Parts: sequence; structure tokens; C-alpha cells
Amino acid sequence: MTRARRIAAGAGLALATCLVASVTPAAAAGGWWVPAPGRARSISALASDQGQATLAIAGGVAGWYRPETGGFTEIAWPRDASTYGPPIAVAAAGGLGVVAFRNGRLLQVGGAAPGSWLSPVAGVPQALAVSTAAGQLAVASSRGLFSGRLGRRLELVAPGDAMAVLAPAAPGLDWVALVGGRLWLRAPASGWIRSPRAPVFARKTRALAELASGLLLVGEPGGLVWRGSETAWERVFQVLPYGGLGGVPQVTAAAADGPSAAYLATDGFGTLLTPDGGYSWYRAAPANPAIAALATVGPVFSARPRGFVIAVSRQGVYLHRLQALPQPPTYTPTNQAAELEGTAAVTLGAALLVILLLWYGAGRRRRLSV
Amino acid sequence: MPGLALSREWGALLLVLGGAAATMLLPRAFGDPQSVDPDLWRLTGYFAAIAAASLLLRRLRDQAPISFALLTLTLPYSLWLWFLGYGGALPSFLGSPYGLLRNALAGVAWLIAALLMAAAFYFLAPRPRPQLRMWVRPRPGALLLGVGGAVLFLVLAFALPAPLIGREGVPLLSLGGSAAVAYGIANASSAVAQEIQFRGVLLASLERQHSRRAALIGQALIFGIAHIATQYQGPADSLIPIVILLGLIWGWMTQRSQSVLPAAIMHVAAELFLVATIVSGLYGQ
Repeated sequence: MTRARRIAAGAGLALATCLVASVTPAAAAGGWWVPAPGRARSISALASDQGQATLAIAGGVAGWYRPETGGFTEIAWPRDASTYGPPIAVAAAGGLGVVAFRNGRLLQVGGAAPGSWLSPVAGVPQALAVSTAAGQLAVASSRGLFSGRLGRRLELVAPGDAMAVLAPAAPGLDWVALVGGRLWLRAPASGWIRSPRAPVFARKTRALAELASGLLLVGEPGGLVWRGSETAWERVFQVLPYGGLGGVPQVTAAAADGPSAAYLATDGFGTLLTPDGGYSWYRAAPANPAIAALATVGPVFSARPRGFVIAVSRQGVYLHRLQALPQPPTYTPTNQAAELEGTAAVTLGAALLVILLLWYGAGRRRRLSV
Repeated sequence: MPGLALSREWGALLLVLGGAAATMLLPRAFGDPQSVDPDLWRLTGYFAAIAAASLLLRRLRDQAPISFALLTLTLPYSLWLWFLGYGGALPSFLGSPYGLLRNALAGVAWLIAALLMAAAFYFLAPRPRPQLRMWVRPRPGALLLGVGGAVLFLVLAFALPAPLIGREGVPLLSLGGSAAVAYGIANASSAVAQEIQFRGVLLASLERQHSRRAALIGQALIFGIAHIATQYQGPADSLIPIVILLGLIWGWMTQRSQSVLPAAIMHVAAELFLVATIVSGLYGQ
């Protein structure tokens, strides 16, 4: 092997090593969603009160779920509950929970105490919301939206196929619901009204989030995401087809996170995050891309993140905590100047070395040709 | 002996690129990963030194075309970074740093710089003149190749699984109105500039020393390597192989049609599509 070839081979090897070294950290930095600890659970519905109480339905059984430990405490209810069909929806607020059964029966639960039955609603419950501060409960069922005081009979306020209902995300905000693709609002101390300015969404729209600022995000099953308030609405995001004959991944759930952030779950692209009320979007996808339910526990996307996101797929439950971004190093003028000088020296040194080697190689070639 | 001569030319190119890799990566050993200087400027300084030496020293004259071509890759890109606001103030009438106007102007500046470098390469290179394939009038077949390639790219981009490149959605609000115009200008300009740099100047300089096939592969590999430093918003793992493949396709189109136009048309379509549909990773992943 000639000297020129040896030099070239060495330089090539150095180049390849540098390239691999520069690419490897990016590949290894993934995996910031982790499977929830404990036994893998197949959860079908999930609700959190943003504090200590998270209610879930796992394997057809409702219970208090602790995502940090994987603990699951089944809720005890009267023996005759088996005739009501399986539990299919849950709501939680202020340490209180409500479980809805397929035949419309509602069970109020709190802590370790046995549950107590509430008056049922017509149709199959699809979502429910509870507020302990206002003592109110609302149920979205296949027959319509039902609302009333906790422990009293719930009144039908909007007939139709109700898919989603949310309690106010902050004091003073509205209750919101989606009935047959139409948005219904209930301001504090007033009745439910159909929002006059909201567009008519797809009939089966269920992904709805109310940010603490009052902004609403609605994700249609076809992938179009809207944002709006009582006064104006605009399209903010469109999910694209998965590819081939896969169609567009359905938007399955949405969860608000403070005044400006929200997570959106899809059954093909995992979860997406908007930190600024729908203006920009980020991939925040756990290992399994088909997410069926979503909840945030405490502030996640904030200056002081203390909470986490729970994403539920058929293969199990995933948790995501916002990682602290690497802090930029603090430089004194002295070491910054030293680093700049070092960088300049490397640049100049590398250029001079390469020029010398090229010069030497060209000289050898000339001698060989002579 | 032609085989030996070919190896020596490749050896010189690998040596120059190895020095570039050291220039880029060695400062990480004593500095922070982001570095205190925009690292493209460092690379531009390195290639400028090699190009100047090869022009001034008769013994290194053989290296002048390739080192000037490599400088053509980095200098316009450095100018683009400067326009965007990295290192040094610009007049306020150019808009705020990272603003929409500044973005569009930076893209146009990149394109103009690439054109000027290509012209300098064409007129300064020793005879025979390099085949830049930029000045010839495009034939209808070349236009058809470009448009057909762009359509095929879009069909494939929708047919392949979205997570491969991260094209998962369109942020309608942030891409609406003036942002669409600004990003359109910026990315279309940068796509055309890259075609001038890689399929114009670099391919031509490699073809002076190597076979057409070797030049085609060489420019595609360098095109891929150059994208390692790119702030790509989609999945990083699949970026480089896809870029090398696209480099091969665009290089083949350029050699086949004797014009950079088809590749430029397809590159603009691909760039605009990716800008509109790539959903950023939360931590740049």
C-alpha cells in the first residue's frame, strides 16, 4: 500500500468515525415516553382530577389508578351492578369520581368508601364530567346531553348523539359539550345554549379540550383540528393520511394542559402537542402510535413541569414527563475567547495539515511520473 | 496507470473531507456541543484556505476545482446563516432576526451567492470549461422529467408510511397568509441554490477528475453528509439515507437531461412539501 493510499484510508476512517459519533447521540436520545410501572393494563377509559385521583376502566372493571406506581384499586359496588352492563366512561374531580355503565346507570365514588347510585340517564353514556366546586354533573349519552346537580335527577338539555362534555377548566369558564357535531356551552349561573358562532363539526367528533385560558380545541375524527372561543373559530391543524391505503389516523382524544398547551391523541401518530393554543405542533409520540385515551396529571408543559401525560393504547399505558432541556453553558469572557481561539486554531491547523499532505502527495506523484 | 490515478484523486478528496470533519467535530472536545461560533463559518474558513492554497500553489492546482466546489457549498450557506441573524447585526430594514421577511431574504441571498460562486467557478476554472448544465436552454423533455419527478415524489411521499419522514400534519394556522409566501420563497430559493451547488458545481468538478458514475455517487454522498448538520424536524434516522437517494436521483436527472432544471423543479416541490407537512419532534427528534 502506498503512503498516499494509507493517508487516504486513515482520513476516510477518521471521517467515518466522526460521522458515526455525530449521528449516534441523536439516535440514542429518544425514548422519553416510558411504559407505566406495574402490570401492563388494557385501559379503555381514563379521567384525572389533575391531582391525586385518577379513575380508569381496565379490563371491564372501574378503579382508582395510580400511574406512578401502577396500583389499581377496584371500586366496590352493589352486587346487582352486573346487570347494568360494563362500565364505559369515567369522570373525576376534587377526589370524587363518577362511573357510567352501559345501560345509563351512574355510580358516584370517592376514596375507599363504597359507591352510591345516582339517577340514570337515557341511552348509552359516552362521556361525563363532574365539578365538585359547583356540585354539577353532565353526561353525554347516545340520546343527548344530560345535566344537573350531583345527586339529583339529570335533565335532558340537548337531544342528539352527544359525544363529549367537559367541566370548566378554571373558575369562571364555561361547561362545554359536543352534541351531534354541534358545540354547546353553559356559562356559570346560566343554562346550556348552542354556541352560535362555532362551526358544525363532524357528527362523531369527541376530541375536545378546554384550556385554562378559555380557548377551545376540537379535533374531528377526519383529522381537522379547530380552535376557537365564543366569538371566533379557525382551522389550526390537519392530520395527514398515514400512507398507502391506511387513511387518515382518527383523532381519538384531547387533553388540556394549563392555559396554552394541549395534547392530541391519534390512533396512528401517537400524541401531538401544541404549546401555544394550536399555532404550532410537535410530535410527542410514545412507542405505540395508536392512542385510545389521554389524560394530563398536573402541569406538564410549563416552566416548572411537575406533572405527566398518561397515554393509553391497547398494548399498555405510557407516561411522559417533560424533560428538562439542556441548559446552555455559562461563559465568562475569558473562556469564551479561549474557546474561539481554540476553534480557530483547529480550523487553521486542519487546513495547514491537509495542504501539506496534498503538497507532499502531489510531489510524490510528480516524482513517480518522472 | 488510470486505476492508480483514480485512487489518488479519491484519496485527495477523502483527505480534504477528513480535514473538514476534524474542523467540524474536534472543537466539541473542548467546547460546548452547540459551539460558540456558527460552525458553518468554520467550515467555510477551512475550505477557503484549501481553495486559496490550491489556486496559489502550482503543485496543488489539480485540487483547485474540487476545493472551490466545496467552498461553493459552504459559503452561500454561511451567508444564509448570517442573514438569519447568527453572529452579527444586520440593518433593521431587513426585518427582525428569524422573522418572515428575514427568512425570505436569507433564502434569496443564498440563491444569489450560489449563482455568483457558480459563475466564478465557470470562468476561473482551467480549460476545458466545466459542464455546469445551468446555462443551456431546457428542452421539453427536461421539463417533463422535472414535473413528472415532482409528481412521483408527492405520490410516493403520501403512499409511504408517514412516520418515515415525519409528514404527519399541516399546521394550517402557522403556515397561513404571509408565512406561506415567506417560507415558500425561502425554501424554493434554497432548493434551487442547492441544485446549483451540488448538481451544478460539485458534480461538474467531480466529473473533471472521475467517471460520470463515480461523480454521480460522490456528489450524492457529499449531499447526504452535508445534511447531517441540518436542523431537520422529522425523524433523524431516516434523513441521511433518503437524502443520499434523492442526491442520486437528482444527479442522474441532471446528467441525463444535461440541465439542472428537472432536479431543481423536483427539489422545490419536495422542499415545499416537507416544510408544510413535517411535524417537529419535541426535542428536535
